[in-house]
Amino acid sequence: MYKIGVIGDKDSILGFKAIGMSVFPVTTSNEAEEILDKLAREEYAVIYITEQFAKDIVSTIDKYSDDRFPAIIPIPGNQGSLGIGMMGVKKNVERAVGADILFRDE
Amino acid sequence: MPNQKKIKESEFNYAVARIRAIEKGLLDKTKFDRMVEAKTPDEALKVLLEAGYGRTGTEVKSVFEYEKLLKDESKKVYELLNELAPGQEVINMFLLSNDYHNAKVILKAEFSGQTEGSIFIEPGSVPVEKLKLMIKDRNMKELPEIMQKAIEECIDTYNRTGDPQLIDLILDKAQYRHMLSISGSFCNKFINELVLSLVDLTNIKIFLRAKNLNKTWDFLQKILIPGGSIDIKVFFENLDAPLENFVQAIKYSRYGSLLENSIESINRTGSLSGFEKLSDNFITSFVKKARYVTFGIEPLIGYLMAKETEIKNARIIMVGKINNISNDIIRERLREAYV
Repeated sequence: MYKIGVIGDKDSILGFKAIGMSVFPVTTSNEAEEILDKLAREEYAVIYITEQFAKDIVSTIDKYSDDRFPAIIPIPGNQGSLGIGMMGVKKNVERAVGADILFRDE
Repeated sequence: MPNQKKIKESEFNYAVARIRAIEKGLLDKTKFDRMVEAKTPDEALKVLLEAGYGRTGTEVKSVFEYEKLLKDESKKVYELLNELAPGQEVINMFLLSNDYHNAKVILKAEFSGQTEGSIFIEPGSVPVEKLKLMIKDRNMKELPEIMQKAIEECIDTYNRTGDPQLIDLILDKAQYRHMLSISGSFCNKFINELVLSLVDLTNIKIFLRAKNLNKTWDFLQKILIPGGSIDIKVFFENLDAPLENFVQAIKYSRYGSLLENSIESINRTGSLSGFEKLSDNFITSFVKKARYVTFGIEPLIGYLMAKETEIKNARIIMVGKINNISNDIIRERLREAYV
């Protein structure tokens, strides 16, 4: 069975453990990069990563953007949202349907 | 109660003298203020290191390892007290919550086929490795009877029902029953009352939570701890009534003002964190009496509880600092200090 992984600072992500996800607390972006590469090779279908770390390792995340697995999804950490996650959704929608059908009014 | 053991005060002369000297090193309000005002988590950590937290050899490479420091500090406190106290039973009573937590972890890991990871809480009165082995081999003769029976009941119940929540229910209840049975075996008003307060406060918390979750009496009845000083009937009668009725009902007990002070924050935020803080303060002001006891076990327990609160406060500040929580909010969450 495929698993769901969560990468980020400990206090932001620990709660995900309670609903059965595998959490990987990290403190530096280097660590986050290593874990991400490791998880991508294992049986993880979805990897959530807090935006605080995602913003520093964009190139690593982009490496997997054309693969079927894993889907890497930035989520807001406890410091609030940086808007990276939403940007990603927007970009993908544009790619899939050819136009921005979600946020045009903004 | 028959055959209550008496605690010989004179056996504590040396221990109390040592504690009185060590007590001076407890972090006071100024030190906590310095931690809260610190600009970076590192600066806050430095206050702890200066106060002698951890032991020689504790290596803290980065601020994120503060938990290791707090864990070592807690071990150090129990080691010291066990060395000073003529008997270990009372001191170990305060470690039971860790033991029962560890037992939960071991059982749940086994039933769900996972490894336990790093979620054990140490120190325990039974070393984790030993506990693991005993549960694995189903050979728990060396454990205290109440603990042994409770773990066996968990295994049996889980095998029949497959419901992991029952493990929590059985072990939590057993933990307090165990504490009551130890405190009851001593003829010492301070210990008896302290444990009774812990049970009562836990029951109030259980009640408030169950009420929040709109649980039925059927459920609540299963989790309330018997043996407290608040009549179970009071909980039953007020479960479906407005919270004010419950506050009114225990107004004249010693928890009256505690509840009256917490109800505002409960109604405003729906969270029990305000109540939990005030309960901790309630226990601290109770154990503060120990400072006026010249000889006996009381100063040791006072120091123990003071240190537990101090470590809790240190954790609140460190977590707050690492996550950029504002100083005001951190201060609001801090517990009253013993000194």
